[in-house]
Amino acid sequence: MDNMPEEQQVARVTLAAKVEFLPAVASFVREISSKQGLTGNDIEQLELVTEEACMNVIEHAFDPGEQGYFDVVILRRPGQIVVAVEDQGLPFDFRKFEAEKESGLGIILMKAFADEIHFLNLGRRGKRVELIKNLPYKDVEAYISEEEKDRSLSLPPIPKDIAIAIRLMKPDDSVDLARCVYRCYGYTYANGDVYFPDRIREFLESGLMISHVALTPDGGIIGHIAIRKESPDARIGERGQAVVDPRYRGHGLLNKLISSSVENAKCMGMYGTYSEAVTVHTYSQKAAFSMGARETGILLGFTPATMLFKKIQEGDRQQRQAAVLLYTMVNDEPRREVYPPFHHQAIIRRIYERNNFKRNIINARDVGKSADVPPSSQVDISVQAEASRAFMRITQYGADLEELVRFRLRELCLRRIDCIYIDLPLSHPATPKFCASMEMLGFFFAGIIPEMFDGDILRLQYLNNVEVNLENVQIAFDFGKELLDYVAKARG
Amino acid sequence: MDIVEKKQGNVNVLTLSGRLDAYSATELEKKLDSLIEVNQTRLVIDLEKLEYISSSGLRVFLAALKKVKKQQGDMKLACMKPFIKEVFDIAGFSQLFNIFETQEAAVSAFGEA
Repeated sequence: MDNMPEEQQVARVTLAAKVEFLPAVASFVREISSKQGLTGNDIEQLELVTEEACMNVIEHAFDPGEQGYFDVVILRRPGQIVVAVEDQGLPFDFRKFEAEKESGLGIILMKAFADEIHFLNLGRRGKRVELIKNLPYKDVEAYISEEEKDRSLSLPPIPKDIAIAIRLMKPDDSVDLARCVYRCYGYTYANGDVYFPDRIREFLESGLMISHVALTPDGGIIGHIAIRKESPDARIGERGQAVVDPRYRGHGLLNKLISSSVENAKCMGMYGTYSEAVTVHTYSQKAAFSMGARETGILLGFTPATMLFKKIQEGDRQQRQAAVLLYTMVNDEPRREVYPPFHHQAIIRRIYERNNFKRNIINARDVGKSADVPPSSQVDISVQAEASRAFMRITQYGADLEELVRFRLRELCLRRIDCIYIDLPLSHPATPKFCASMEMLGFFFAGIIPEMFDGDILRLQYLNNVEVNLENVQIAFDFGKELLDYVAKARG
Repeated sequence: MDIVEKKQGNVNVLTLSGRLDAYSATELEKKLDSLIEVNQTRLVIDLEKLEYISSSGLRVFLAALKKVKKQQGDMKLACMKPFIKEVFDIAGFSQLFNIFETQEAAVSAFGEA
């Protein structure tokens, strides 16, 4: 199945950091991206975001008089074309960036024209900005008939004695999956990727997504579940995109799908999978539980209001809804030392005990000098624009962390991102110290995700003017309720 | 980028073609400054043949607008292609400038003022 690599470098050029080479960069981006399938306005937009990123390097990365160089790299990822601008100049100085009002103009344009932007720190190899455009693949509308589009047709339930098969999803199934999701949700399904069959095909081919589908005797797809991974050899993945055709509710399909998915993850040697179960009902929590999942946190407002549950229960769903963070252990993970913040130690200990994790909990006061950090921090950010969520991941603690996160947080709030998460590495002795300063910025406890990035992470959450009504939150089990109380109190 | 200059009554019309990026922005800036220095502050910029603009180009337009307004002049823009219009809209520049469908309309707007 693996005939598409997760990432393929198409071209790379190295240039002196001089404005006069920008037209050459633009032609380079234009020629290569059109060969890769980008069309029309998207090409000009990609040229523009590339120029803005190059200008940031030319103007800010090098000392006056220093002859610097930078690289422009074009990459192909599943469903996407990526332009990366890399340099080994001065670390990104966000204070200077903030002070210069006019440089904001470039950032506004970049954010408007790129589908995603990632700011990455490469340690000694410098820094990198990735500008991402989704390829203009046809969406599901191109594959469905007028009759199927008529969403007012009621669909009678199917008798329970019908034989249903579950198997690994193949890339060729992706059109059929898109039609199934459309039948179940119309266009309201939160993960927009499923509506683009070619995108899903490439995710499957690259090994970044492993899916299981449920099929009727005549081979039609009526259910789906996926595990998405950061890299093909990642030891944990995010389980999601659960879809069950409403005509087949009550057939136990979700349990069967999760079970196949868990069994497969086990065979592949993964440590586990995490997932975010909705709280407008308890069906998915219970299904996950029966397959060994346990609660590790509560994410308030995680599920966007656009994700309707029409076929399960009618009601007012205008607000974002909380989700339960779940972890399903499938293989034993290594024993780890963790440094939970003192004030969250009790709840973190409970989460570990409930999941039978092998962890040595080390007290903050025993840390001493090992919590010392270098001057600059490194924080990677990824944004899920459709779901209005952003994830900050600390890859290096530094003395400037609070200032850097405050700056990034303000940017994300101005972009009207609803839910912002920050992941702190629990195996780092400085986590207790920095957790408190993040909480002073308005973040509050969300939970933990084991084995997320070569070790557990402590996730904190920030809500940007999101109304949270806890009365509608349905939690299946007592420990989840206890976590919800804890998170609600932590929010204050 | 090419800049073609002509005079229509007491209005200076600049027709830009090609790409207005960070590199060519300097050239346009020099051209506009040279006009403003000699009090030629009634300007129309025809963008019909302009294919591309980045934030550096926007900044040159903004700086020139500030200068001509200070001298009771104005800078009017005409004939934007959809991509250029999109960039102006996103940057919030469409409210700052008087933008016309045709060069003639932009020039005659000076007569009405």
